[in-house]
Amino acid sequence: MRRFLDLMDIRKFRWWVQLFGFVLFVYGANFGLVLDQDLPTFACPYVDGRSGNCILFVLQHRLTIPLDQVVTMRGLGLLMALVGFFIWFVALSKSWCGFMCPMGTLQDAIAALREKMGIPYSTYAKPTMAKLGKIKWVLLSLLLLIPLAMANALPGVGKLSHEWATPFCMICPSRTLLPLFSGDFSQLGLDLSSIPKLVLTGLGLLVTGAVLVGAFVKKRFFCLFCPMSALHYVFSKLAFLKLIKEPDKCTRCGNCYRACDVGIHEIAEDLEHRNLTTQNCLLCLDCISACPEEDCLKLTFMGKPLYRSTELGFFKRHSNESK
Amino acid sequence: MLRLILWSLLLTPWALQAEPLRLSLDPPGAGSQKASYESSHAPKMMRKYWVHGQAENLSAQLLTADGVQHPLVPVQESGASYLSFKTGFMDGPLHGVNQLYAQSRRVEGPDLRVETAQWYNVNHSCGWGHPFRAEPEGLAPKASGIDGLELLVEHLWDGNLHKSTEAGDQLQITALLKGKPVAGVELAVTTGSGWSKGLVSDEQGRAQVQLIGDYFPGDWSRFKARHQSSLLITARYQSLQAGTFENQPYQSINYQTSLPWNFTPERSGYQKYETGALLGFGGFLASGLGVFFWRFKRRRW
Repeated sequence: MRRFLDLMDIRKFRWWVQLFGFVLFVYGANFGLVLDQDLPTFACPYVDGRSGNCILFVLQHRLTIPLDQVVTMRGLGLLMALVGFFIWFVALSKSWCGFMCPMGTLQDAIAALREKMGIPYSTYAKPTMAKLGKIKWVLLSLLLLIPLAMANALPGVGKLSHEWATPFCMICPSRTLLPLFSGDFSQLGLDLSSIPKLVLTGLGLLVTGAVLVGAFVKKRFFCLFCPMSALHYVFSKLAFLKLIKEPDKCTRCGNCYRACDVGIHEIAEDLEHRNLTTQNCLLCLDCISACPEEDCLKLTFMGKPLYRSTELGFFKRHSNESK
Repeated sequence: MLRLILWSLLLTPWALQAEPLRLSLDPPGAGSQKASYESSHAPKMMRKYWVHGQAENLSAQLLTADGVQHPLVPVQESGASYLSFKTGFMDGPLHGVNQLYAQSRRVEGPDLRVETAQWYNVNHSCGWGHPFRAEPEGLAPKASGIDGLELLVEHLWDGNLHKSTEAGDQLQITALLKGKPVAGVELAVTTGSGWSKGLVSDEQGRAQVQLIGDYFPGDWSRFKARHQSSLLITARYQSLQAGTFENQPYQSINYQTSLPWNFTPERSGYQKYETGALLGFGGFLASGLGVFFWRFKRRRW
């Protein structure tokens, strides 16, 4: 079993799991498959056949709560959503992004198309990555604060209109793109019913166009800004799955960085920390697959290695690719 | 027979103008004649519905989403009657559509008047999930087979159990008498603004009507996409069947039924798909050109 895992091509395995995840989160409910309402992935609530709900939608929905009602059933509902999210997340950690996210799979498919066309992909320098990385935290803060401001009056301003409901969903490209796969084009509409709706749906459509181009030239482009990734990172220290690096075994060959879809510099450069489950990491395991050093990179579940880099595995995968 | 015709002529205008027996979230005298609105997103522990109209010998029953009939006892309060039932938190079988019926019977002239007030309670919370996609039969209203005239209206909610009736929708109504489709039922669909349309059911008991838009705030800034317009479907059917009720003889049975509902403005009235698609394409084009020129500027010749 250990030998099988060491030699396996994780990328093929991941692609099949991703396809399964995509079908599950776009069509699952049509087959009676309903997982949960608080999933740590983009199970978009605007897709009719989804088999669950993205926690970001649920959070925005349930955070529309007056502060004096936090210690009531409404507050309990919010707490239950967070508990549900936590249980799913702790079990699988950020691999929800790498293996299950339908928006991630869509971006990977677009990147594969670019690769077929022979167009080079973009990479970002470390300072650029650091600047872009802040956007996801801004989005996460806004998506938590706007619903609160809808239910609680701000001094001198009053309450925000309910037309600002689920603001992140309104600009999220999953809302506009994923329903298309079940033949639903209704999310491509520009909503003229009020100024907030006009602003949000207009922004959402512009973001969709930009993300399609971005995903074409940069692998997992949207993941750089995804507030789900930020929310994951808040809890990632508690998760059972971790990406561990043994710094003393690393030769800084850079294979892991080149294999990384997001382009995380730390994976190759950081020789101080063992836990490299960074905020941008998708736990896609491509870095482990590309590492030629014995036991240098590994995925652990509660400290026990599940998948690890081996010299033999590296050469086997490399020879398969050469063929 | 002559007496029956005379009574019918005398009573018909009155019967048409009298308030039908109906259910409402508001008690009688609360002001509004409109059907008040019940959310299909928020759960409640207890449901309470007031009976409006002339209620005599009132009986009630509830057909829960799991297909089980529950008799209900009307409660008197301040001279009015109400019905209530529990929809407990996370109560599995009740997650769905509950159909409530209040029925009044009295002899009036030569007629036995059997009035039924219906209510569809969509008991749903998004937190409970949306498991009905794969079971369309679980979404459709069921025939209760009550001893009276019953209305079944389709497609009032979507696969997620969210109310989805909009102006412009075609309402598919089926009239059933004692659980069987009946032809010749006089139906009226009346909106809160006063618009009304009369229909007659066909051999399968079916009738169809397109809802009009009746929400025009006049000023775009005051428009609310979630505005709820009220709707009341009423039905009337006369059966020439003689008998006695509480030792009072009658020559025919006059069945009347009401079902209130709400609807929102037509989505296509405020959502512009062509403009939206153009905007999305604009974002795509601008980003594409931006990337192209960025790469062109940084090319290595």
